[in-house]
Amino acid sequence: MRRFALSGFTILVVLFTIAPLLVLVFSSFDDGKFFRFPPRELSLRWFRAAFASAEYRSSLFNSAVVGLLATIISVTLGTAAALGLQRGALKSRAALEMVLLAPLTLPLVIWAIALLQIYAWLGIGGTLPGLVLAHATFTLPFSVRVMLATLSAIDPGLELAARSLGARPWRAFARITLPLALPGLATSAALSFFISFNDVIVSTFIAGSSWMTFPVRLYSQLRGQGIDPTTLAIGTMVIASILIVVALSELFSRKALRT
Amino acid sequence: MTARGPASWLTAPGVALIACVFLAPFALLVAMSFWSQPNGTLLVDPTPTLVNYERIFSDGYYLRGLGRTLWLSLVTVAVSVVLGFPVAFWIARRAGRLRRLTMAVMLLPIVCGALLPTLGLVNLLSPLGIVNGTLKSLGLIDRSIPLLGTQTGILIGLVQAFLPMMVLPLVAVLDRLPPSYEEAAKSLGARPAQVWRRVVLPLAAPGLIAGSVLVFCASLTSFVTPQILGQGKIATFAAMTWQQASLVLDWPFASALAMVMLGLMAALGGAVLVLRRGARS
Amino acid sequence: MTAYLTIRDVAKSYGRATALRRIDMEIARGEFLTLLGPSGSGKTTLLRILAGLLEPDRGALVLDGRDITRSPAWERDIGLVFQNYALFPHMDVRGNVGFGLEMRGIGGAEAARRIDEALDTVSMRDYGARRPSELSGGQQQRIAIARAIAIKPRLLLLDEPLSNLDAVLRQSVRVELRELHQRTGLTTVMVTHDQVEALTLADRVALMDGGELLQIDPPERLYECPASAFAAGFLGSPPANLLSVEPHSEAGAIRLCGALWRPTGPAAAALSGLRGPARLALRPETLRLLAEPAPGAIPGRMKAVEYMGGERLAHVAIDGAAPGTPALLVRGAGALADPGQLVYVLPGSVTGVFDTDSGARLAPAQAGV
Repeated sequence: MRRFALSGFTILVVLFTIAPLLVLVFSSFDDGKFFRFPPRELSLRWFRAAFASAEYRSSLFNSAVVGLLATIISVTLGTAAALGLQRGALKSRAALEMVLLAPLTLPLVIWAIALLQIYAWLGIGGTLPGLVLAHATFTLPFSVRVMLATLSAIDPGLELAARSLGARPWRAFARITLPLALPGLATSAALSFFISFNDVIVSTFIAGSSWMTFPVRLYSQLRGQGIDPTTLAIGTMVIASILIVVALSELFSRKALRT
Repeated sequence: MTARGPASWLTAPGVALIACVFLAPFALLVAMSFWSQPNGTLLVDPTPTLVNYERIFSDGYYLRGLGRTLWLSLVTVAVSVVLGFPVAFWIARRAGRLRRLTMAVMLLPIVCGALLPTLGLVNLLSPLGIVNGTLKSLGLIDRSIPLLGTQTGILIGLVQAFLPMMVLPLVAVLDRLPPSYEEAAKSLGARPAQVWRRVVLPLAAPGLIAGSVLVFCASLTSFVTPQILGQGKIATFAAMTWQQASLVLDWPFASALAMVMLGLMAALGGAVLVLRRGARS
Repeated sequence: MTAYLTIRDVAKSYGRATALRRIDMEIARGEFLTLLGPSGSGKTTLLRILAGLLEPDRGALVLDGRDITRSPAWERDIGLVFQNYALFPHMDVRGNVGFGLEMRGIGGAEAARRIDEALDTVSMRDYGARRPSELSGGQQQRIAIARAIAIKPRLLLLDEPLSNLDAVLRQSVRVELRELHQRTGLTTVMVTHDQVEALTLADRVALMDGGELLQIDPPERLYECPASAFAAGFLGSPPANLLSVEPHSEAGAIRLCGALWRPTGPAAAALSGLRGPARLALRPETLRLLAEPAPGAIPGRMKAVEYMGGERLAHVAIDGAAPGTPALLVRGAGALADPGQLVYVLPGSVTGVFDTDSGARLAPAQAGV
């Protein structure tokens, strides 16, 4: 009975956590200009509008470019850092790890306010390099964390076995550790990309009119005019792509575990 | 292993990025908060001055905003504890697919950023939205309860956004608490309530504290959720800071506002450290 | 025997998996019983049901005349020592030992006295202020025992208490457990998968497999007169040789793993009533290796000899045995025979003859049954 109550409570809380996203998806299919519950008519009208709008297309493109570039930097540096933490000298490990994970604990808004002023002096405010640098920075700790967990789950004896069979250290790493770390690499890449893609907190300070990302556009629109149903359709597509990536990585990692 | 020493250097690029792009700006923020920007100009005067801080602590507008924000943050922490503890306990006692699914759901708000859930919440809480629509069709209310533009609405948004920050550290702690502790207490005569109070709660305290600090700091510095769900009617401290930085373009003043938040968080962190040291001795 | 604890018709399953099929058992006051079996045999499930941490699907538990089947764990007054000790890490040793007393509303001088008493019982009086993390594995285990006996339990349950200790410590703790039991007189049920522990500690051993109670007997009887082929094949190190036997058309002869054998002595007596295929259990230490043929000896060829320190274990391939027949194991001190040599194995006694399908004992009849 007690356990039943706990499960019921958990289900309710989990529902509460995803309810806003469910509502977002649900309401994007509502035909009306203003969402009302219960909905009157369902249609794909806002999805067509989303594809037709050049404005949204360009901001989505900007988000994707920033996300991709930031992800490449974040995963590369994150994997290297995780390797260094795992295999390097132990005495400095705690301090280095704390530095690498700092963006997870310190609030991004405060950082962004400082960054805004520094970018202005450096003249990279509102530019692509500025955005990519910032996004790579706050997604890096996620890559480090995922890769640390991935690498620590790999038996170090495997690489030693490869060396005893004649593989040079670099080859042993490339043939043994890297393939085994592939699911972790995919996870950290997906995590970095979507966190960057959806970021509004930092970008709203440093994105300019020439490199306006989608969340920044959406944020200013929400403050000004309220909800444009087209953005609901775009949000639905973003959530759908997140779910697809999660499902794929689940499939992928299960297959990797089996072989 | 021959590569022990050189392997450490692999951390260098990442550490350099965080140190230069993330940590260094915090140091500059301190300096900038003591600069000033004479009225009506966008030029910064780098003569050290306390005008920004004087303005914050003499203007009732900012103090009221700070008080409101602290209150909202504390309530968010309290609600997150109440909602998050049972969920974390449930997750920690489970393995396999159900656990992974629940954890994935808990990570969604982090991956989706601040805006997408807020977008859904607006439709959930609006006068014609699902909450009011359902209550009306059940005949529980005649007129819509105002949720958007109220503290309640903001609170719902903050809890929804930051609950995972409570649940994840709690799960990490509860995972290391074997069920045999509870069973041992039971076999020694402890009733379920006593098992919780004497065994589970004290051992989960580190996770509870970590989660509370994280949720508190996140709520304190949150501006997107309060701005959208508050419909611009309720100004939180972080939203005021955002406004100074992005609309008014008074960056020194924005820096000082940010420093106040940073100072509050540092004070909280220090208090936790002192408390923990006290509990250990 | 008057039953102090009665386990009647207890069954438990998890979904489709059956953990306990149907257990009936009676335990006397002051008895030390071990539940012995391989992992998955249901012994731990039974222990947890006794402790009140699991509810049986059906059946009843009666402890000292009181039905406790539905009482929650905290009302049973049963001391439980966990495999991982489960000492509360946030309390010191005295806090741990006194926890059960506190739950019973016992405080002050009375609690202090009983904590001292429990700590004295395990010779840990001086460690009261330590945290569990500051104790060695063996010390933690003593505190776990002290915590369980401080509440003056009506029953003491031990879940694999020695499995986390190293080999040397295990032996000394084994002796201490036995002494503790004699001193306190507590009725004790211990779960173990280690037969040496089970045989050395217990007044009686309950052998379990696949959720069933196979045999419950004093250690000597369980070892020397197993009720089933499983018991014969589980106990002993190495366990008994289990050889397939069939009647032979020739009088006085037996088909042993396909080869012809003319048994004599106890083997002949045990196999005299053989009607169909069965399994013959011969303990390695009851077999003798001979260099010359002798009446009743099984001819074979030496495959390997393992030196085990003080004694040797010989692997003998039975002459003319069907392919796939495992080697006959012979344990003894003799230095006889190199691999490849022809040898003769003479059975000194027979541990049992068992039905091939059911594993039930056919001969020789159990004394006193």
